[in-house]
Amino acid sequence: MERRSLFKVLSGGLMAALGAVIAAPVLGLLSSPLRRRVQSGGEEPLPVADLARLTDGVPTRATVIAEVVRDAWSRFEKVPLGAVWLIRRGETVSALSTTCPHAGCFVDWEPQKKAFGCPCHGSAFDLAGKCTGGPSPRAMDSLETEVKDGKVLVRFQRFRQAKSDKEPA
Amino acid sequence: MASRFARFKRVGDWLDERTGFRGVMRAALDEPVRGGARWSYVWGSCLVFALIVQMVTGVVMASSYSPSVTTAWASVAYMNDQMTLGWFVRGLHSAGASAMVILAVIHLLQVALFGAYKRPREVNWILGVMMLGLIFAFALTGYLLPWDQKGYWATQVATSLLGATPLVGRGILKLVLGGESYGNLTLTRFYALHVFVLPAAMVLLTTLHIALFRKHGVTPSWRGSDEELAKRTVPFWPDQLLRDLAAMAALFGLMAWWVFRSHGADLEAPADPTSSYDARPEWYFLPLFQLLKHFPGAAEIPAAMGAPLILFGTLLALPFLDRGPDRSPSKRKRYLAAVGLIFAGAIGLGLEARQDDAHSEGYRAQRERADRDAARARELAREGVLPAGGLAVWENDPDFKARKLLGERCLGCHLYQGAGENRAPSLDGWSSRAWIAGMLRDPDHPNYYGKTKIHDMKPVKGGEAQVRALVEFVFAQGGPQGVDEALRARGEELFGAMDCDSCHDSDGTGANQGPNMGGRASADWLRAFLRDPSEGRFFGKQNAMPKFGDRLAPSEIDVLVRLLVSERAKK
Repeated sequence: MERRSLFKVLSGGLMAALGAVIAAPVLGLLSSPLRRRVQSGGEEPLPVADLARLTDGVPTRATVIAEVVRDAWSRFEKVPLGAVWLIRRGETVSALSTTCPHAGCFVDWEPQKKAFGCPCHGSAFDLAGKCTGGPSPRAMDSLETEVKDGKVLVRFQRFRQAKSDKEPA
Repeated sequence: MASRFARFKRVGDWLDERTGFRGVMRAALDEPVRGGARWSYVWGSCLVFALIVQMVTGVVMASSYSPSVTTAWASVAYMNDQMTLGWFVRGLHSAGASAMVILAVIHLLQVALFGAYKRPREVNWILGVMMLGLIFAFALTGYLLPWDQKGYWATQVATSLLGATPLVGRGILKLVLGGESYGNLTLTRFYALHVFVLPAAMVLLTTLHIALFRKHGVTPSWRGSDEELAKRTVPFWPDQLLRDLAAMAALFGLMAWWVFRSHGADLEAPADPTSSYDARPEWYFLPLFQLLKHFPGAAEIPAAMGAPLILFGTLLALPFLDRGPDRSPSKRKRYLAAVGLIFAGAIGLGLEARQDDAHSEGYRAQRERADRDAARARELAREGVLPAGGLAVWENDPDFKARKLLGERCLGCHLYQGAGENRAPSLDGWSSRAWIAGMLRDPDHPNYYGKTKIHDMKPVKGGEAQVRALVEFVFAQGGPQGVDEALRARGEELFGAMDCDSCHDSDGTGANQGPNMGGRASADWLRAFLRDPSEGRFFGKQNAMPKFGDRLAPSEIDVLVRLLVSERAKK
């Protein structure tokens, strides 16, 4: 090999190697969130209300509060995750997310109509959460609940909006 | 193969026609190196390389750093200890800072030796000296950002001196700190300086520095005539560039080796304004730090301000003092001696500072404590830091939790370390040998059961030896560690002989008039006791203490158990 082309190869190789050894740790750090859980909290069923306080067939709003939420370097205690509508039927309780599946507005209970309604774009839902009018692509999102020792527990989740299927966000 | 190459060339032609990039490349690479390529010319390129490493690692770190007094330490701890290769990137940035200082000084000394600051290169020398100042400004502002003990206290020294500047000191200090003392604005200001203002200035000066360097070319050795130098002149590419690249690779290798060896940069415990911390600056500020020790009292401020002024003043004045055309060092001994003296003095002061610390017992002890605190704080930070930030990391410590729980749940009735109410037995050294001995001698003393409803036990009347044996027997119920077996056995005999066993069982299960001694004060015993002290084997019907099984989570009970077990171990 000629001296000049040897130097060319060596220089090119050195430059590529230097680029690589700097890029590797940098990319490792930047892509760190892909490999680990950065946020956590609220995956477990959380107590939201006493069963005795719920009236049969009348939706009651309850706030879901996580004991602990981790967010990167922080640990937050008693964090409100969101709100749910609780509907009691005898000894069982169902829960509907207050987030409208259409565009994420807060769905309200309208007692005189005995129905849920979204103030933003007028989606309407019946007591079971089924969509009865307006632009919402699906029923209100139901959440897993259980009743234990007189307490109502809800596993809080968020779902993707503007989809006809209910997919976790 | 050939056709692919041709395609590349066509793309290149297309781009060149529109941008003229080939001309720029050629101009950059064909720069003549007068007198030929040399290894001694690599330092400037190495500085540029180190600057690039600093910029790349700095930008990436900025993507996971949060400048506020509540989040700075926790975010750095998270980056360093929990994100992939965070320790390595941060370590590189710290090693890079040291490398910049070393390389800049080598570069400067070489330029001085070669007389390269002489006409027509004076302006470029001044730009270089300014960049040296910028490197120190980077170091000073960057050191504070992690908001750990070291950065906090070391930077205090620098800002206090700044504040002591005659006339304008107070105003400048308030401007720099963004207030009267260290706080959120101090961090955001230092951060803005470190990541926006200083880099912009550095890039600008570097560009000018290189442009002027290209205008005047390298300064070859003072030996050799112009004809000889011209004969040996080669283009920058490839001979010099390859040398530069090889030096950069060696530099990076050295930095990476250093980072691996030291497991990255230090991160001490979060800044604590109430702690006593004997701060040391980074090594490149040690000479200044040491200098201040030699100028106590009123002379300190003039010395602290004067030393950098003398250093930078001398350097800036150099091309205007040494104006002769001769670049041979033997003809410029005076000037070289001045420069040499300044740097030798700095090195001497730095070494002296190291020596002082190495011989100081107090400093060593302080260092050990700081290292221990740092390791503990970083371990606790893995659980996440509460919103109060920084120092709140200590709240993750089980001891801290235990004290807090104890304060909330127990000190309404019990005394502990000077706090609480005296309505129940003291928890200071609870169930240690001394506690048991005192209890046996005088159970109705206010430290024991004096303030409770329980007054059924009679003081143990016996000689010192007998009480010691009984104490050993009761103490041994909590666990066998450190128990004198012979003494315990003697105590067990006495327990029967002195009729203790008419009220106290010792099988661990039976209920009698007094508490069962079996397993007393062991972790399992404590757990059951705290859950329900009214069980028959504990205080039974005489119990007045709440059942914490209903009130505390099992993890909280464990925290209290651990604290009480450690009280038992106290002398």
